[in-house]
Amino acid sequence: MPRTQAVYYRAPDGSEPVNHFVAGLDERKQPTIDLQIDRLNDQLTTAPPPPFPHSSQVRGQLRELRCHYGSELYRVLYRRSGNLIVLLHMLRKDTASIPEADIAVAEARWEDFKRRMDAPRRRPPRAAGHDAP
Amino acid sequence: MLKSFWPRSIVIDGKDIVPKTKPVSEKIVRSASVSPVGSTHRAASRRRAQRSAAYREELARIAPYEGIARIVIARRQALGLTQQELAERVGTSHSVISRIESGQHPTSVTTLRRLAEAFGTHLVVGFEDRPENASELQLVAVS
Repeated sequence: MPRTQAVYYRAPDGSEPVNHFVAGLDERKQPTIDLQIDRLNDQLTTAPPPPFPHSSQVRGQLRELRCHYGSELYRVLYRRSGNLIVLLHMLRKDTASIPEADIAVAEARWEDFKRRMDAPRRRPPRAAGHDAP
Repeated sequence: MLKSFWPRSIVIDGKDIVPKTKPVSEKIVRSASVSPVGSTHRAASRRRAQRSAAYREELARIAPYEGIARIVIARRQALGLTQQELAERVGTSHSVISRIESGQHPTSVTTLRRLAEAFGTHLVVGFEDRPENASELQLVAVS
């Protein structure tokens, strides 16, 4: 049975926003947050997502991982794609609900992810020269 | 011999101006083939651990709490209980369950025993030798 694997969404410029966010935290907070995100790994793809309050639905198939370090709350917005858990956006939570703008960021990244995954693979240019077909 | 059609710099009014445009923007060419699937979270965590001693120290400190958190979450989920419902079964407060499941705090053996009871199981604590000199495994059923 396939198991889930948490991966960062990578932007067209090569950056990985969620990776960047975690790396920007204090070094002593990083392991706690990393372990909480790691809970999304190694799950059967048929298994339910982590129970509340560890994760919950945001909109449609977009979900949030509810992490915290002590009283500091963080949210990781993600979506599953086959066995991949695609980590789209991360924020420090300081409002009652996730700001609409952050949900929009995650949704736009998901659309970009899907579009680039579905795009036909680039082929190297065919051989040219005297022996080209 | 012409190596590049673009000058390295242009002198205007005595000032050396480096042209900002390049013949082909390498970045754009590369971006067309960048995979939207980035690094795995696990590989990135490993890199963070390799780079920082403070990270490793903190990781070693909280790893056991995380292990306990995960088995408690898994059991609670299997039983379909909320944290509040589990707390009531255990005879404790919601915040106690919440703290255990956060994986950031130690839990007493007494609490673990009561959890085991609530799960309809029993708690086992043991001493295990490292594989190279494993001669015996000592487990004790605590409840």
